Amino acid sequence: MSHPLRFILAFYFLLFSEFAQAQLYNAPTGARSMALGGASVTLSDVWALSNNPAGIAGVEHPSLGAFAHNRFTIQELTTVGLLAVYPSGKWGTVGLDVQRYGGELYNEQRLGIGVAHQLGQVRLGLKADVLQVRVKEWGSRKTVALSVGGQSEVIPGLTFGAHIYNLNQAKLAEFEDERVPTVMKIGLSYQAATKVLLVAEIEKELEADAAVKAGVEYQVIPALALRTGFNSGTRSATGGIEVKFKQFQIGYGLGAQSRLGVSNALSLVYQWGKQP
Amino acid sequence: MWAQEIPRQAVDVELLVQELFAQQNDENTVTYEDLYETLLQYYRQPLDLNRASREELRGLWLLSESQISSLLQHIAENGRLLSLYELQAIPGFDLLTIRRLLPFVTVQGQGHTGQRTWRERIKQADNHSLLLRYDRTLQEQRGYTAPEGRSTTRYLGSPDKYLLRYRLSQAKDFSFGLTAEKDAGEQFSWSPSQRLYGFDFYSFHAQLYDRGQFKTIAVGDYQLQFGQGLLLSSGLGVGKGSETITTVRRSQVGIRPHTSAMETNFFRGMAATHRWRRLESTLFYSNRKVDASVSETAQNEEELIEEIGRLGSIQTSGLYRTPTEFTNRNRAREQVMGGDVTYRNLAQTLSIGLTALTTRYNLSLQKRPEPYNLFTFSGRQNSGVGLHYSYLWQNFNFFGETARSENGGLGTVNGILASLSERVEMAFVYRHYARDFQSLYGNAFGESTRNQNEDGFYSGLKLKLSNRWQLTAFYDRFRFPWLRYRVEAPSDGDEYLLRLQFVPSKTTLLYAQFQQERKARNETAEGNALAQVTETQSQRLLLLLDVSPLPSLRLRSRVQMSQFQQSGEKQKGYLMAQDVTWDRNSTRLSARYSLFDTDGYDARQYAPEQDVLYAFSIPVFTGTGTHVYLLAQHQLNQHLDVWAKLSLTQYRNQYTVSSGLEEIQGPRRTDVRVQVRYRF
Repeated sequence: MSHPLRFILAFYFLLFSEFAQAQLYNAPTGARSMALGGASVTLSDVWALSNNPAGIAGVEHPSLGAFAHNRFTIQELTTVGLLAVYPSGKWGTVGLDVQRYGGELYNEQRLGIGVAHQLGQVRLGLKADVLQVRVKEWGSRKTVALSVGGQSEVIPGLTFGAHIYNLNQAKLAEFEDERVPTVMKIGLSYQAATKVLLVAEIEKELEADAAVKAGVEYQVIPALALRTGFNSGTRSATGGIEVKFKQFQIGYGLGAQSRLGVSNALSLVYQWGKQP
Repeated sequence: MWAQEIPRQAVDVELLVQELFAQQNDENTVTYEDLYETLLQYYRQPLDLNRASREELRGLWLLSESQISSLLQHIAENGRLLSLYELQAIPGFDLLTIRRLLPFVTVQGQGHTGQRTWRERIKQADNHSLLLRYDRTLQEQRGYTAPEGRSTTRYLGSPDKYLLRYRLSQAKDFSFGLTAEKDAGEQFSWSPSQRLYGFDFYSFHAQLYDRGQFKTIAVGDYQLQFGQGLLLSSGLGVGKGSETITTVRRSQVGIRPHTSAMETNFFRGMAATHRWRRLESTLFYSNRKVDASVSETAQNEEELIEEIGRLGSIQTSGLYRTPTEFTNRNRAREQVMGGDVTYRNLAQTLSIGLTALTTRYNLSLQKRPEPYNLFTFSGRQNSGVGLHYSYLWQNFNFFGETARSENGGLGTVNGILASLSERVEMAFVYRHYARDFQSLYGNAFGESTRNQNEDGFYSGLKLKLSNRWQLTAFYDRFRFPWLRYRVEAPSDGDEYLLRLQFVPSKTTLLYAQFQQERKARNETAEGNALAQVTETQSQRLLLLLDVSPLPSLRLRSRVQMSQFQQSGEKQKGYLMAQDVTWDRNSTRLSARYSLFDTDGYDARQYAPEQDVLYAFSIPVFTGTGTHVYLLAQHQLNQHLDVWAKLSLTQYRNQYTVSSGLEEIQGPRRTDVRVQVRYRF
């Protein structure tokens, strides 16, 4: 692909951020979230640091997660990231989130720090992200986005979750008053049976239509989980698989969008001190 | 020897329809009432649980795969069921399931048909009856007035509709039947030169079951369903409805008598199914006249005709009211030949089959020369061959069918039904029907009526939250890679449904259902010759409360709302109905009062209502007005039942009802229907 064309494509997907879902927009992170259609506001795992920081309060062991998410098999539309979560006991659970999206001509960087506490049935989380956008030959911009999230088990098996990303409406540029998207998510998850988890949420980006996301996770055996879901905002259907062995979890997620094609996500989690 | 019988409840058709069947939409032009009637008759013959195969139990659409397995296991371990009360002892059978199941099943003692003579068997047949039905719209419609004005076309016959049906049948033994019908506007006369012998449509069938090695022998009119219905489907497919799991899979019904008055989509000739070890082979031959019209571009009548009356065709089927319709009647001859071989293992968990058929017309078939018809079948001959399978592993049922039409077009449909736990069931169906896949009798799962030009993926969920609460949902995504009728560009769309059902007590049912669909459609802008394809959004909400405060009294309230938007203004529709049913001894009275208010055709309201036995009505309402009906049913004696129905629709702010030849002067429409059944 020639350079100008790459540039135009990257810019096109930036404009239609709903489809591209880069991390400036706080796209679902990790293969699990993606395979569930992006409905991850109620989940508690290492990826929660990005999806809803309250969720990391439920992580019991220090964990490290790495992931890569490619969209529509276009190399430039790839996000890679590394997330670390450490339960420190008295000080709550802390996490570090590093992500990069894009190619040489256009890219976004994120460095985030989060902290979460469990208070009885309620988990609360806070996060600050330093975001950098760089467009080659145009220069770069930096800003800070603050997020807050909560999760609570309403009745046994039913968990409620809410997350607001970029509540300070961080500004990227004076021109056209360009701001980082502010995204609010509210959802429920229901443990319908020991092996079956159902998740659903509604996501509203300030300037876009509300999206409905839902998914099912089926734990066939403790070491194998199958997932499926959909996202009405990106108009995609998703599916995925995760295997666990020893202290590792390897997850894969696939998304199909009828006009733009398929997306793939791969993630790896390592947990310390967890008995296999 | 005779099993204890639980008093059979009257089948609540309206609730069943709402539960199982897809919402109608404008592309399904087939007269729905006929399709439902077919389904209803299928349901009306109760299934003997002691002799039912897994396939037959699946065909009821009411049981989950794990429930079927535990029922079959229960019978295998404990012997025949002695009574329907025994169902409660089977693991996985909750009260809700049993109550839904009861109207459609029986348990019978040891059958010994072999030793009885024909005379005895006919005397003791389950069903030996003669039914007569009469319908008429009281107001005069334009088609029956004197020919004057711009168009002088008028209907040939009277506005009366007659139906006669004779049936003598015994489940798993034999079935004989005769159906005759004259639709409103059709002639009732004896004119052999025009091939008109009294009624306009006759259908006859004779079928025998379980004769030596033959499972079924059929002569006359019949229907066929094999595999997932990609090549042969008898119309027993119900598609996407609020039952999100069991209805997405077709069951292999094989040969079935054609007993409804549906004048299309059946076969006329002979068919037989032979059983040898684990193999079931079916052969059939059909030869009948079909309707066809001379296409506008015809130069030679013998060569260029357009078929009508097939599923998905634009014209209304089976009606011969005007001179043109009458000319087109039975104009072409269709011959179909084919068969199926299916292998089943002993445990009935695996089946693999091969279906093949070929169709020949005496005239060359042409479709209207529109771009959307480019890949539709035309010519004299078409054939298809397909492979179907079904495999049950634990509580997962994998099923599918892949077929190829003569021109090389491929179609495939594959799915999984999974009982993830006792409370969670899921279904997934993937289908890909190439734009040039041409299946003339297929009706497998899909968004379009025809299995052509469609890709899609369906996920369904059923969740028993508790004994009282149940949640069902589906999400379906589809894509049409070629143009369609009224969509002049490749398009895509999606649809989802959510339904929450609450059964607080044995006599109360409450549910709320929400449905949203996104689909593309042509939109013509003023001053622009070319239509633009834009997206439409529609939402539907339904609330239903069914209460039975006294054993003899039943109340049902319904609120329906819908919204439709293309790019202009939103259209809204609203319908509210209250039903009362009073049932005592041998008399049953039902009534409904409903109000409707809609902004336009796209926000029209469909509301299923009760009707005389075997008849179906789902009237459609547009505009503003009220709709009332009264239905009375009385059993005069052991042999004779009578029904009468009167319905009245009154419109506001309009001076005519309906359009074209159906137009009525004045804001009112009144319909009467009378039916008599004599049981021998």
